[in-house]
Amino acid sequence: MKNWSIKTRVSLFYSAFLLGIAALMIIFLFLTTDSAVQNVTEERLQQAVREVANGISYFDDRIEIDPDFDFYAQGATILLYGPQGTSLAGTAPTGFPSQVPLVSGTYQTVQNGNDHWMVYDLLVSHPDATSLWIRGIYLTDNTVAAIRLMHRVALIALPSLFLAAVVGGWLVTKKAFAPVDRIRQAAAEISAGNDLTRRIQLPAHRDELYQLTETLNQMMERLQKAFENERQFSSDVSHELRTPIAVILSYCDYALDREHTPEEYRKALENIRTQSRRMSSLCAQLLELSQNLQAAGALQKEEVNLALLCDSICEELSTAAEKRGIRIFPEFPEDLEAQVDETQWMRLLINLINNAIRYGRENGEIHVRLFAVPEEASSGLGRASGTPASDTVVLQVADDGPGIPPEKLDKIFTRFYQADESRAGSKSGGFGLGLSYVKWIAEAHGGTVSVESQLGKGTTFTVRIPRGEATTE
Amino acid sequence: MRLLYAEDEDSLRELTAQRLTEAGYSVDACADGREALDYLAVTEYDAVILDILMPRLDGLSVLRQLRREGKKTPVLLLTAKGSVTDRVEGLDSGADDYLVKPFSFEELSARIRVMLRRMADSSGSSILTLADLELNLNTRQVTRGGKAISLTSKEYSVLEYLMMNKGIVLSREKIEQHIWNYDYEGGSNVIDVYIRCLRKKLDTGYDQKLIHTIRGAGYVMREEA
Repeated sequence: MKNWSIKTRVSLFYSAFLLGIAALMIIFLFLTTDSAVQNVTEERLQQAVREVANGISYFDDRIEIDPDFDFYAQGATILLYGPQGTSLAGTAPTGFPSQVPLVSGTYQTVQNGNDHWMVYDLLVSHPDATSLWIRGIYLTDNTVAAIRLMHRVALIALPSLFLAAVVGGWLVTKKAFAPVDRIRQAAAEISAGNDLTRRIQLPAHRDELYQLTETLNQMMERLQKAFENERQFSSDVSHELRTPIAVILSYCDYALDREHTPEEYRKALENIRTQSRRMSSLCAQLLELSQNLQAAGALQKEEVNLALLCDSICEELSTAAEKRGIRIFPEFPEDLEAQVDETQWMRLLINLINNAIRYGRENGEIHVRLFAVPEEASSGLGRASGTPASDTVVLQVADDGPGIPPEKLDKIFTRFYQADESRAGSKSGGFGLGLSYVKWIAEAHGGTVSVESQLGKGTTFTVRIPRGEATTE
Repeated sequence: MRLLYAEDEDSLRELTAQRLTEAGYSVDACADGREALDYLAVTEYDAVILDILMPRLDGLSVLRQLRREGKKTPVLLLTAKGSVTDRVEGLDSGADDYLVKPFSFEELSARIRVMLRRMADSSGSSILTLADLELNLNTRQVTRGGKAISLTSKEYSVLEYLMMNKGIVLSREKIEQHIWNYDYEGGSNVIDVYIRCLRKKLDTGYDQKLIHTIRGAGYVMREEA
C-alpha cells in the first residue's frame, strides 16, 4: 500500500467513503421505510376500527348499525362478528383466508399467495348488550409496492452517483498531478546532464506545485553557485601554489646549474625555505578553514577577559599601524569576560586590525569597540540548539579608509578574495584568506560577522558572538 | 608543552590524545613508528609517548634511533608488553619511564608531569619559582606574592614553558613549537600578544619585572638584572 500513487490513494479513499455513505443510506432506507410504513398502516387501521366502534349504537338486544355505515373505511375493510365469532356483517376481501383467529388489540399480518393483509381486531364489550368483534383488514400490497419502487430507485441511483463521483474525482486529480510528472522529468534531465544553468519551467497556476518548482529552481541556483565556487577555489589554490613552486624550482635550477660559492648556495636555500614555509602556511590555513565548524575540539573555549585581550592586541599592533601613521583607539570597558577560544579570538582581531591598517587611510584612525549587549537583544544568533541564551558580545573595528564598493561587499568573505585585483597584497604575505578566517572563527563560536562601508568615509566590521555562561570553578 | 604520541590503535589514540589536549598539552598523534620518526626529525618535543607494537617500525627502534641522534627528549613507553624482561629491555634502550596497558589516564598524566619536571628542575620539585612568582606544575596554579593569578590554559602553557626554561632566551618560533601542535598555523603576532597578556597579569603593579624582551632573539624569564 506504501508505493501506490497519490492519485490512487486519494481516489480509493473517497471512493470507499462514498461507498460507505451510499451503503449506509440504502440500509437506512430499507430499514426505516419498512417499519415507518408499517407503523403508519397500523395506526390507520386501528383508527379505522375504533371509529367503527364509535359509530355503532347499542341497544338491549340488538345492535344497530348506521345505514350509512361504510364497511370500507380509510382503505380498510371492516367486518363484524358476534361474540362466538359468527359473522354478522361485512365481507372479507377476496383471497383473504377464512380461518384467521380473532385476537383483540393486536396486529396480525396475513399472507395468502401474493396478497398481504394486516388485520386488527377489537372486542367491544357493552355492559348492557352482547359483545361485538370488529375486525379491520388492510391490504398492504400497495405500500409494499411503493416501498419496492423506492428501493429499486435507490439501488440504481446511488451506485450510479457513486461511480460518477469516483470517475470524476479520478480525472480531476489526474489533471492536477500532471505537472508533478513534468517537474520530475525536468529535474531528472538536469541532474543527468552537465548543464547546471537550466531551470524547471513554472506551472500555469500559482498553487503548491508552483511553489515547489520555485524552490527547486532556487536549489539549482545554489548548487550552480557552489560548483562555481569550488571551481574558482581550486583554480585559486593552484594559482597561489604555483608562484612559490616556480620560485623554488628556479632557485634549484640556478643552484644546480653550475658551481656556486657557499654564500650563493646559502642564499638560494634560504629563499627555497621561505617559499616552502609560505606554502606550508597556506596549506595549514586552508585545512583549518575547511574544518567542520561543529567538530568537537575545533575550539577550546574558556573564560577569557576579552577587554584585557583586545587591549593587548591593540597595543601590539600599534607599532605596525604607526608605520602608516595610523592610530588605534581602543574603546572598551575595564573587564569583559566571555567564553571564547583565546587563540582564535586573537587571530580574528589581529586579522581585522591588520586589514584596517592595510586598507585604511594613511594618518587615519582605527576605532576598536567592544561591549556586551543584554540577552533580549541577542535572538537571531546561530546558536547550537540546547545551549542557554546569553548576552551578546559585540566587537567593532572601524577605519576611515576609502571604503568598499557595495557590489563587492558580499564577496569579501570568500576565500582568496583580495580587494586589489592585481594581488599586490600577496607581496606583504597575505593570501586573501584573512576575512574568510574571521568569518569561520565567528561562526565557530556561534556568532556572525557583518560589514558596513561607505565609499570615501570608511568601513566597519562588526562581530557578534554569544557571551556564554560563566562556568563555576 | 608539546607531546608526540605514537599509538596504532585508533580509538585509544584518539581518546588519549583528546584527554591530553584537555589537560593542557599540545599533542601530535601518529599511528606508526616511521611517522613518529618523521615528526621527531622536524619538531622539538617536550616529551614522547611511544607504543612498542606498531606497524612499519616498532617503538623500541624509534627510541634507539632517537637516542643515537643524541636527543635527550624524555620518552615514556606505553605498551601491553608487561613482563619484567620487556620492561628491562625498554628502560635499557633509553626510555625514561614504562607504563603497562591497560593504564589509568591519571597515572599517565602524573608520569608525564614527572618527566617534564625532571627536565626543568633538577631538584625535582613540582613548584617552579622565580622571585615571588610561584607556579605549581601539578595543580597548574600561579601565584605572585601569595596572590592567586588567573590564567587561561594557553597563557599558562606559555608561562610554564618560559619558567621551565627560566634564564634561557627563547625565540618566538621555539615558543610556538612548544605550545601549539601542527593543526595550528598562527603568525608571530599571537605569541607577542600572549606575552603582553602575561605581562599585564604578572608584571603590572609589581616593581620587579620578570618577563623580558631580548631584541632580535626572543623572550626570557628572569629576575631583573
